[in-house]
Amino acid sequence: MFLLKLPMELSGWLGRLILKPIFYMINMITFSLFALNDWHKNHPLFKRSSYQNIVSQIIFTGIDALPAITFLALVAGFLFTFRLIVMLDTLGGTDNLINILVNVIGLEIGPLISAFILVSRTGSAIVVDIGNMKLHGEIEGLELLAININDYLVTPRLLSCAISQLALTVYFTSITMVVGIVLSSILISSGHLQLLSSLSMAISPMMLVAFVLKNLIFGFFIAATACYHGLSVVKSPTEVPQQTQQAIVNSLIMVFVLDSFLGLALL
Amino acid sequence: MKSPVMQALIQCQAVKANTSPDKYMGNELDFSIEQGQVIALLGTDIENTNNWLKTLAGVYYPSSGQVTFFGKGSSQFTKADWLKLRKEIAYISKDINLLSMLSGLANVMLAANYHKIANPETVKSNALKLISQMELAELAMLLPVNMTRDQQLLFAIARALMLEPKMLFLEAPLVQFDDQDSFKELIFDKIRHQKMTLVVSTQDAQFIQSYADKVVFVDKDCIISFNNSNEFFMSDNPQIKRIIKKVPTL
Repeated sequence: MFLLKLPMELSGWLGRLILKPIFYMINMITFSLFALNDWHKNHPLFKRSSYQNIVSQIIFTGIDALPAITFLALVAGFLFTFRLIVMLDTLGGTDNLINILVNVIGLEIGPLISAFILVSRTGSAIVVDIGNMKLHGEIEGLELLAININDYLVTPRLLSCAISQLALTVYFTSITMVVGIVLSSILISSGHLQLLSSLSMAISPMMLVAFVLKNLIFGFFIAATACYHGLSVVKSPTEVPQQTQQAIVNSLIMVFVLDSFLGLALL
Repeated sequence: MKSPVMQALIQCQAVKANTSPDKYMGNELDFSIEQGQVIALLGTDIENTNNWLKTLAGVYYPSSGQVTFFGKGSSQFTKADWLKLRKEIAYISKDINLLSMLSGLANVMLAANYHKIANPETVKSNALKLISQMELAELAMLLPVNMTRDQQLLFAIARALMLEPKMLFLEAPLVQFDDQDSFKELIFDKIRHQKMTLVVSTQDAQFIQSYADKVVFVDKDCIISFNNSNEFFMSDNPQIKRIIKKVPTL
């Protein structure tokens, strides 16, 4: 009897395993679309007042994160850019050096490290903030005042995170590239300084679009995951750390999955 | 002297609140709330009483029957109607729910600014005026965590009043206050003077005697409405008698 049931149970387990992330993704996209729709209804796209709340979120998400991202960019400049130049120099493949730097540092490492910082810093803060608001009935209080939560709390975070992720990645990548190239020109060959001038030529319009899209999508979904888990807190204080942990793990998985899909799309 | 009866703002027809069956198994409520009235809601179970209060305020859907708000049945309400209703009926729950990250003043201005009741400068000056009327001016810049429960409640009431609602629902407000007389003087007398309709869940018999135009009593197996407080105090219902006896103020 057990042996007869085993294939059924295994297939059921496998089905649930596959369906769970698919439903999670559908939930996340639906949640984000509803939030954007509610925001769009109340805020004309080209009105300055529509963006006041978003600007204050950008200050927290983007500007306050600058010291951490500057330090990491300096370290990454040595760890990735400089070492990549040294390796390629040793192997003699300097012809494509600038293309490799743009693809590896600009399109992969930069967005990923900025996303890690956004997940660990802003994502976790959003879950704790919204989770505690939910727990203390503050969200219910806002709803009782006819304040739309999607409009007031969720969408400003989604948009500000998307913009901040893009801005932080531009900042991070620029520092990482410059530090690595300058170091290599001091320690290996002064000719490497020319790489700085050829950087702008190496970035194709397609690459630029991919870079902007990737970062906007990363930031948007990091915030969406955080808001979704924050609002999933129901009534126990123990749910806040649980939801924070889930949001961080799911955000990181989502960043890698999205990165893979976008990488495939760019091939 | 009680307020004159005007138009019904809320009309309940065979309504049962959205409570679990183990909390309420009684009859339906047929009841109306008119402009300027003060309604007291009391019961043997606080959660049950507050569920009825939420149903009357349109926060919860009734489990059966129909509640008509300002002449329109709740079953015909669109999403926009519900949003409009939340601005017209202010509801302050017993948890108070001020935003913990905002100061008292910012909390008071929040909903008015969100709904663009006036330009931000006017909202601020109105908020400051209201806060000083409620003797809260010194606390305006404090975060809710640095306030006492009664101060938080006053800020929550000020926040709701900024939207100029037609009705104010308060969940057990007197429980939050050590000095209940000053609160009654500050809030109920002022609201009564403004002819605002007030619905309060309370166990305070003195409040019922002094202010209530109508009384609704909720028990596990019945809900009874009284057209004035005298009817309530003269009731033969054993549960009501038991509640009145427990109240030291009478």
